[in-house]
Amino acid sequence: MPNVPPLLRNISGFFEKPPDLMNDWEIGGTQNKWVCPSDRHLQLRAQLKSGWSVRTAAARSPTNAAKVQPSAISDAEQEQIRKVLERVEESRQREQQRIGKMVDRLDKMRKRATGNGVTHCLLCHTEFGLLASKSYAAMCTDCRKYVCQRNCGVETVEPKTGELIFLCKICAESREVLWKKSGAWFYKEMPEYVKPEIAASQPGPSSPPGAWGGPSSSRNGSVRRLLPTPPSTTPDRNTATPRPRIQPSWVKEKVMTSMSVEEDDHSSSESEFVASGVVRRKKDPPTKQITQARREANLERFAQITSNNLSESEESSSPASSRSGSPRRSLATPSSFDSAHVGGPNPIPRHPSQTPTHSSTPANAGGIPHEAKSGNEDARSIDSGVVQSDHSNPVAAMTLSVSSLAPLAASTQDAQSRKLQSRQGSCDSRRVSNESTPRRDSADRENSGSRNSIGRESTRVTTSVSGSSLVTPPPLAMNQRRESPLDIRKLSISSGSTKRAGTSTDSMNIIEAIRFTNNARADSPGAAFMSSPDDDSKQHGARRNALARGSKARPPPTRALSDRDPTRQLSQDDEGGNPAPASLVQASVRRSASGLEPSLVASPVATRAATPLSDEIASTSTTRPPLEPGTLGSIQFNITYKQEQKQIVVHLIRAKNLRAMDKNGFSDPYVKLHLIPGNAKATKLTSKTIEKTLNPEWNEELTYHGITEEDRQRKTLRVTVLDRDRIGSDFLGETRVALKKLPSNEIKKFNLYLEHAIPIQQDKKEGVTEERGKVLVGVQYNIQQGSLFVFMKRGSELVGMDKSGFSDPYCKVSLTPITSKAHRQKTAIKKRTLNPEWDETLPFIVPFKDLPKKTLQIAVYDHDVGSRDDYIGGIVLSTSAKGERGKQWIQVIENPGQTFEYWHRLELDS
Amino acid sequence: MARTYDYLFKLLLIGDSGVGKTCVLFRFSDDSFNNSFISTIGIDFKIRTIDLDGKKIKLQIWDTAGQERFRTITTAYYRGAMGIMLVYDITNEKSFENIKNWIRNIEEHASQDVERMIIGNKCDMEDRRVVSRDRGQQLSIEYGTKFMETSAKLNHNIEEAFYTLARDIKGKMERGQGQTVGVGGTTGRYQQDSTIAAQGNNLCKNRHTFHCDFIAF
Repeated sequence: MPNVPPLLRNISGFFEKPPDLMNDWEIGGTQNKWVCPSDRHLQLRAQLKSGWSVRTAAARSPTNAAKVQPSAISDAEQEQIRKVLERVEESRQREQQRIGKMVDRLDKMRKRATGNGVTHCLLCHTEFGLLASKSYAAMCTDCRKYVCQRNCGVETVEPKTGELIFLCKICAESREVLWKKSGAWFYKEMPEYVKPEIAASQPGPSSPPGAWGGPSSSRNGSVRRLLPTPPSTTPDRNTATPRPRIQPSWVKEKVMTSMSVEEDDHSSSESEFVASGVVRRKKDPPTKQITQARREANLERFAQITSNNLSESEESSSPASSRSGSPRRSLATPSSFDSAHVGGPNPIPRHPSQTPTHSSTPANAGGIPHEAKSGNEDARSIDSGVVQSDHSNPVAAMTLSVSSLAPLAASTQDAQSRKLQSRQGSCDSRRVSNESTPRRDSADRENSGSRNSIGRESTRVTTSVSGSSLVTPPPLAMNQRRESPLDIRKLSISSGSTKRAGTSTDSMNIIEAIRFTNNARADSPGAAFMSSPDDDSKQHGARRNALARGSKARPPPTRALSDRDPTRQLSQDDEGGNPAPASLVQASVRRSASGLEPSLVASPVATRAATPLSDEIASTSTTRPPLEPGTLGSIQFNITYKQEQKQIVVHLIRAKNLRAMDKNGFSDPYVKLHLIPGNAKATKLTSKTIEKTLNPEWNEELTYHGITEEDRQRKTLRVTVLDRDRIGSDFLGETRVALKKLPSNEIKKFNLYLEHAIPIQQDKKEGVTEERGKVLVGVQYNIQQGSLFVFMKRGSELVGMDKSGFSDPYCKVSLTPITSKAHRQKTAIKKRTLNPEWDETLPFIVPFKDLPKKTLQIAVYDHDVGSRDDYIGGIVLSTSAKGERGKQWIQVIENPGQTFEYWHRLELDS
Repeated sequence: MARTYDYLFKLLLIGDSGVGKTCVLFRFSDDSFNNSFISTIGIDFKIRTIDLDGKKIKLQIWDTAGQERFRTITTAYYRGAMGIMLVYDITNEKSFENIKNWIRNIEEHASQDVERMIIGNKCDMEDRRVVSRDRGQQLSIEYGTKFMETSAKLNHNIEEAFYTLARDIKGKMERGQGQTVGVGGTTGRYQQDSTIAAQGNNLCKNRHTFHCDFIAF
């Protein structure tokens, strides 16, 4: 809103109407404010005793002071408006500070993000080792750096396409903060803001224009958009900078030779990130706005204010940045441009210059014509594609694993080009997945075409890869095409995670070895494939399939290999809706891996019957983490669903063979339970921590209250095993149980393998978001005491109103219409919880006969210090209330002396 | 802390004098209602934070004076508004007819992307109704906006109206982001260009109409 100090200054001027609006018909149509009065006027004025000289407009209706200037604004009114404007000013400043704080935090985050984003996590510096056991990498869709996906990134839904994408925390934040929270999305301009410390509020000059890879290129992008030709001012570095990021071969190079290729990259990444988006913020006001301002001549001041307000001062804008008109591009999603223009992921033009020495070529990046960029969409999607499937199958993991094997299988060069291919492959498969199936053929053609270009240079690789490639060899490719994504996805199970990196060349042996090891365990991994996966896990079906679900807790250890796949197949068929993209991308992962065993893979895949086998091979040949389900250990627990009490009791027994996360070779495991979908904080239950063990025995019961039948149908229990660290925790594995599979009132035993993290599916259903929580209320009328007793027992899954995500809930209970002071009562405040246990009895003295007319209002509030308490939700019990609320009230009235307890869903507007 | 919020949306209520803009706002922000008519002076605003899809959205709702004499002040606030509610009174034909003028006003002064909504207020006074629901609906279709009949007195549809508007804005925000992100490819960029071009055209068009009006009057 246009409301700035100048406004206040100018307001009085504003109130003076422009002369032409003054009324001039009184005296001879003159435009002059001050005229000599006519006789008639003098006569009239004389009667009024108001002097001889008059202001024309004022004289217009001398009899009615109020009507003197119908269009003017009186002093009192001015005063009032001024007050409003002051309030606005205040709130505007608060808002500026808020944005400033957020921007500041983002800047700090960027400053800390000094990892190179290639071999080390951009944010936390964790090295993506060969073994990759510590953290698995994923590429940020926006800035194209690798970060570890456990802590440093988030998976989110691309709003436009609805796909899942992976963003590093910085990019996710800048999308959120710079774009949405600041309001820039609307104003097309970063609004003014005040950084917490004054020093920081001096933006502009301090940050090099080339700043952050994302933004810099984005700036480029926008410049280009405005100017027909690419600006000569664009520093080369801009174009070169993003390069390394999209050149995954670096990763490999690094790992294999530990050359410090990174030098360049590091510096670039550093400057990129440190620089933050400050420059980007400084923009000219959009021309549109200026025009607008001109147009509104009578509003000049306001308009000026508006544009000032909306746009930043121009002074500090560098030539380059001033040219970039649309902040939308420049700030909000800085890195999106990256892909737009970096040409990096655009595989086709790059290849020729690329192959053996990966002499990072900025050449095409700078001024590639559209043509060259046409591949970008795909290119972009490569990454998003890979990332998408990625939580389970980190990109880096894949590349690393390939590269780690490379020395054995082929020369560096080969490996590199193979990698390129795999990338490219994923590109294509991605595109394929985006389009309808028929298109796949063309994609294949294209892909093989481009592959050939590589092939010429490194024939050997081509052949070796081709054996397994989805795209290349006609027989295989066709076959797979026929087989549909299902199989491909199945194959992709292989891409589990980066846990172990096998180094043996004979992966067949590895497979066998692993298989036997697993079989040797008490619980066979075969169990994993037996039962169908949960509905909620559809998206990650491939991986999820790997885990046993409810029904088969303890499968026979001798389960044959051949048994598994059909089962799995079935279960996959069940999940008809499974998104193809992930699967195809995963296929490419698989391909990259299986390239090592062309002979092994190619032939089995050719026949459908053999698919399971090849699948198995593929899965293990990926040197990497054993997708075998047993590798994360297993967990044993019992669940009892008590239908009457609406409780779910989870009895944690023990876990076995957990991963060691601490240096001492042990972990400090504890278990977190969640109900999904649902607020993570509201449904979290945490077990105690057993220290220094890989086979913890908790023997602990955790109870969920207020689980309604509807919840049971809809929700899934997520059991996560974590390693407690001094700061934070490491993920050890998780498993899920759909509540609907639980029988009522009997103990159900589970012994499940742990899986890798499965991102929670963001369920954006209305119903879910509207949930405010539930309360357990008991009501009884006692005739002897003439009182109504309200038992406020507990709340469950309340909405977190505070910044911490928790609330400090208490209840206000009132019996309306209120006839006595005692008819308004409160419970105690339960600090920092979303599942409070009040257990309070509130007596209301009220004649029994009044009861039907009364209404019991229960409102749950979040107690805040220093501000108004937040309303979490409420319920109303009355005879006319619907559902259980009315039922309970009527029961209470009909059966005095008896207590009726119900769980009630809180509502916002009751 | 209770004060935090994720997004700040600025909404604006416009419409003829006496249609109940202030009442609608008070009902929404304070859940109060006052039968007597107190003309708004210039501008005023209220704040309410709502929860939408798990996001806290602070709505800064601007209430404008419907009276002509404040027009210069009120129009200054159009530009910053992300959502505008056009309010008319179902018992007042003139206020309904004037919606057209208000829309023109918006086109002239407000941002291109502003989310609009038409509200027929005082739907509790069914007996004095002169503007049928259908006409309101028709008008809203004509302008491609959402439409609701509300009653600030009975608190009917008030929340819904604001929530709907907020949701629309939020949707636009998220889509907008998608668009920017989608600029990755060439096609994306062209799209962007074309939207800009389209906007430019619109501007021209608007100016054109503006001129015509000017001449006509």
